[in-house]
Amino acid sequence: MVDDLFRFTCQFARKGVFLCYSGPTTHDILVSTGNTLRHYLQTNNISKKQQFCIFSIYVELFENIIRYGIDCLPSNQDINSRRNPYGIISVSTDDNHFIIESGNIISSKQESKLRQYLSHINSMDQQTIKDFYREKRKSTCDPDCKGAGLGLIEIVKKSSTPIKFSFERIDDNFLFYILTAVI
Amino acid sequence: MNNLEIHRTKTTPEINFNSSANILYIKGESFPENTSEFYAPVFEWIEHYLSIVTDQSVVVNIELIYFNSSSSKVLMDLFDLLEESVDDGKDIIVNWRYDEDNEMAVEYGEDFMEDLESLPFHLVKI
Repeated sequence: MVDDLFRFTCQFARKGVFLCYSGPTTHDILVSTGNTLRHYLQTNNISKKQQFCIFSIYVELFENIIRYGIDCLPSNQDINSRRNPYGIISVSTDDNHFIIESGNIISSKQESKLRQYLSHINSMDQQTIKDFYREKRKSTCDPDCKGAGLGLIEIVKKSSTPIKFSFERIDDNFLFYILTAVI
Repeated sequence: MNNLEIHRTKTTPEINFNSSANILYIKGESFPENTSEFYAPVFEWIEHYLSIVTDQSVVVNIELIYFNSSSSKVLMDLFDLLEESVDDGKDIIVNWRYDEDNEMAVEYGEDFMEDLESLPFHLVKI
């Protein structure tokens, strides 16, 4: 394990990762890691607009894990009781861009719907996505939506390139869902 | 009616609604753990207030440094509610107060403004 941690750290350093959290996700952890992220961006003289967009994407990705992720630990608790879904989130830089990535466990059944939706919003140009965002903001939410249903649109709006997504198979029932946004 | 005062936290804004001065203030940041739970009493207060306000001039000041996408939806619902009252003949204005340095706050303000028709919505540099 000690060897592994050193290897992970070296990999992170090579990839320019300056913040990474892995574990159960809660709102408190979002707030504390989010503050660390803001502090880092402020002290490194990143433009205010970039700071805002990076922080905003970080919050939306983190909230997605809290709302839709599946617990990492086997639990007999009722699905509506307090959950702490497993997630990993990282922020890195390659001098020109910032990369915000998240990974979490989802049910395999969600894949096709997510793929379809992500491809749909990824294909929109600036004006179309702006109009789509405003249309969704005016309308009532889908029944299976736990937030306002605007998070992914917000991420696409703020990213400088289309967001990348992938689904890695865990077993017959679960997938590891990765989202990557670049600013 | 009573005023509504909620203190600011790291993830919820200060709410200061004064029914005798007819000034409603929302100030700070908004990314609550549970957005609908946080804003439920705010909407309850406003709906009651709008039902009793007559010809007074009402000023709604919004000064948000950062808000997440679910709060953005809440703000749109709030502006829609205010717009309905304006359409009923009430005198309400919204001041979207922003810091010159915060380019995104201006963009969000302009974005809301485009979605409103009769509600007077002013972008005010602090």
